[in-house]
Amino acid sequence: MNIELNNINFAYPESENGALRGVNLNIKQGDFVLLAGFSGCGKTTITRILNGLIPGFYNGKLEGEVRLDGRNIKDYKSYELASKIGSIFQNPRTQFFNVDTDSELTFGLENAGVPCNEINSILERVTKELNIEKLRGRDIFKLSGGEKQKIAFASVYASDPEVYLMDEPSANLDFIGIEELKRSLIKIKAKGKTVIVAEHRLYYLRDLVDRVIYLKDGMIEKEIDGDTFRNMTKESLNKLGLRTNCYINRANKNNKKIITNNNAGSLRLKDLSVDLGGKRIINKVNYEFQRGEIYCVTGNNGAGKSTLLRTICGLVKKNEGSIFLDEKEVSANIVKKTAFLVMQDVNYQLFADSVLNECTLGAKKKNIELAKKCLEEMNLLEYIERHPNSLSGGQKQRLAIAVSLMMDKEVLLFDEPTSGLDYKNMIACAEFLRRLADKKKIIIVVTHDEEFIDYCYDSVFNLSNL
Amino acid sequence: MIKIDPRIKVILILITVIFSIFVPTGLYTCIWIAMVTVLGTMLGRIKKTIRAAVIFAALWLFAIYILPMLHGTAHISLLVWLGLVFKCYPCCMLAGVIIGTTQISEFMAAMAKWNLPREIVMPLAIMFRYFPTLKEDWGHIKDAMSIRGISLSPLYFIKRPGVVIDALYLPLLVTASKTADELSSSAITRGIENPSRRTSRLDIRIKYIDILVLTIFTLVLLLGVFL
Repeated sequence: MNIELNNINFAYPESENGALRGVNLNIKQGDFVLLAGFSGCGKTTITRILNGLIPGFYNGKLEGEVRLDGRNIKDYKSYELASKIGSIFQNPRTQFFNVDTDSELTFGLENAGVPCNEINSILERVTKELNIEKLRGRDIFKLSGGEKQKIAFASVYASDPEVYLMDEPSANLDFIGIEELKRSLIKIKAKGKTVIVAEHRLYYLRDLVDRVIYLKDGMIEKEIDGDTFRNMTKESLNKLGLRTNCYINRANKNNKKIITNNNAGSLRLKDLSVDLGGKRIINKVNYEFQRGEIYCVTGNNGAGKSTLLRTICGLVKKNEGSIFLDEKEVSANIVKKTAFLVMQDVNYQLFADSVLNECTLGAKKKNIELAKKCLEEMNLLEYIERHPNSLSGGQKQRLAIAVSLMMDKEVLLFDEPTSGLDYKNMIACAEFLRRLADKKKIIIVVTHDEEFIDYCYDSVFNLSNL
Repeated sequence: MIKIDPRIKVILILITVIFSIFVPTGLYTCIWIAMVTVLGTMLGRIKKTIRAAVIFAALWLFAIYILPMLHGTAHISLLVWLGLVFKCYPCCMLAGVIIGTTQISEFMAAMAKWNLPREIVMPLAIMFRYFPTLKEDWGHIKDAMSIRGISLSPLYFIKRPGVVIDALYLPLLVTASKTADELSSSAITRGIENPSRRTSRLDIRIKYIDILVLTIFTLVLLLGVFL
C-alpha cells in the first residue's frame, strides 16, 4: 500500500504536545520507516492518523489529506482500515481484548467474519511461523511483558495486514524480548510488508531501517536514509536528541570504578532468601550497597530483580537472611520506614490533586517550606499548582522522588525508571539520580536499559549470575 | 470436563433469579447450591467452586445450630443478614462459575447468534475484560499506599479517612480511564466495528449436554415452586 500524507496539520484539543505542522510524507509499499524524535514531537500522532484513531477516536483539528493507494482515508471505514493496517501499541497490558491467548490471536479474524474452520487453519499456520506453540491457550495476565508483546504481534500478523504500525513496541521489553521483536520484524520485512515504527530505542532497528524520519516540534526536520543512519556516530545521534544505534556491550566492565569503603554507611544484604508462592525466587544473596553510589541491578526476566526491590522496601517478606543498614541489623518494619520505591508505572503512586498537596499528603503536619525545597531540588517548583496527572512521564517520576525526600527516606529504589523515556529525559533522570547519590542516599536501580546503565552506573549487580 | 453454550449459561442465570424470587429458603436452596457445585466442578472450576460450597455449608450449619442459642439484637441482626445471604448465594455463586468459565470471544459469538445488537454485547464484554485488569491495578495501588505509609486497615481509616479515600480514588480513576482508552482504541484497530456477523474459532452449538443441564435446572425449579 502506498501512503501519502499531504500537508497535514493537527492539534489535540487541550495540549500542545504531539501536534503536527505541515507534514508531507510518502511511504511506498515495503518501506521500513522509523519515526524518531523527542517525546511529544508528533511520532505517535502520525501513527494514529494512519490507523484512523485520529479523527475517529481522538478529537482534534485535522487538516490536509491522507491517501492510501490514492484513495482518501476518510472514505475507509474503521474496519476496512483494520484489515489493511495493523497496529501494535506501547503498553502490552492494555492492547488485549481477551483474557486468553487463543481468543486474542483470532480476534481480528472473528471480527471480520472469517469462517470457523478457516480461522483455525490460520491459527495453526501463525503458531508455526512465529514459533509460539508455548504461548497457546495461556492466560494473558500471567505472561511476561515480552510474551505479551509477542502475542500482540502475532494477533496482528494473523490478520495479515499490508502495513504494520508500531508505537514504541520495545518500551516494556528486556534484552531477550527485544531480540525476539527484532526477529519478528525481520520476518515481515522479508514478506515485503510496510513497517512504520515510532521508537526511542534505536539499536535493534539498525539493520532494518530504510528511512528515518526525524521529527521536531511537529515538523519533519530531516530525513535520513538507512545507510547514513547506520553510519552515524553516537555523538551525532545524541546531538539530535536520539539514542544510540548500536547495542552497548558492557560485558567486560562490570564496575566503572572500584568502590572503596567510603565509610558513609551502607545497606548490606546477608544470605537474603525470598520465596514466593512456594518457589525460591531469591537465593542467598549477599551484596553491599554503599551510600553515595548508583547501583544498577540487571538480570533476565524472572531472575528476581523486582522481588529484590519489593523485599528491601518491605512489600514482600524475606524468608531467611538479614538486612543491615549502616552496620546495624534492621527489622522489616524499620527498612520499610527508610526505603522508598519509585514504581515503573508511577501513575499508581500519585494520589493528590496538586503537586504541592502530593508532597504533604499523609504527613501529620503540613510543612510547606520543606515541600517547596524538595520540589525545587527536583526542578518542579514552577508546577506547584498543577495536577500531577497533567505532568509528563519524567516529571511524574521526579514528583515521586520529591515525595521520598519529604518523607526523609534513605534508601531509594527505582524499577525501570527509563522505560519509554527519550534520550533527553533519560539523561535528565540519570542526573537526578546522581544528585540523590551526592546527598549520600542509597540508590538501587533495576533496569535493562544498557544505554542508561552505561551513562550513569557506578556498579552493576547482575542477579542472574549468582 | 464438559463445556456448555454461553446462551444456556445466560438462561441458567435467569432461572436461578426466578428460583430466588419464588422459592423460599430451605431444602431447595441446599439442592440448588449442590447443583451449582456439581456444574462448576464439571466445567473445570474446581477449587473456587468447592470453596464457595464449603462457605455456604458453614453458614447453613451456623444458622441451624448456633443461631438459636443467641438472643436479642445479635440474634435478629444475624438472622436478617443470613436470610439475605442465603437469598443471594445461589445467584452469586452461579455468576462466579459462569464468569470464570466463559471466554469473552465465546460469549460474544454466542450473543451474535441470538442476534443481540453490538451496542448491548460490547459493554458486557468490556466489563468481563475489565475485572482482571482492575485486580492487577488494585495490587499496584495497595503497594503504592504501603510505600507511602498509608494503611488500608480499618483503624487507619477511622483516624484519617480523607487520606485513604484520596489515595484510592485518584490512581484508580486515572489508571481506569487510561486502560479504557487503550482497550477501546486497540479494539477499533482490530476491526471490532465491522457490521458483518461475528464468527468464532470455537464451534458454538447447543448440544445434548446443554439440553440436559437446562432440563435438570428447570425441573428442580418447578418442583421448588409447586411442591
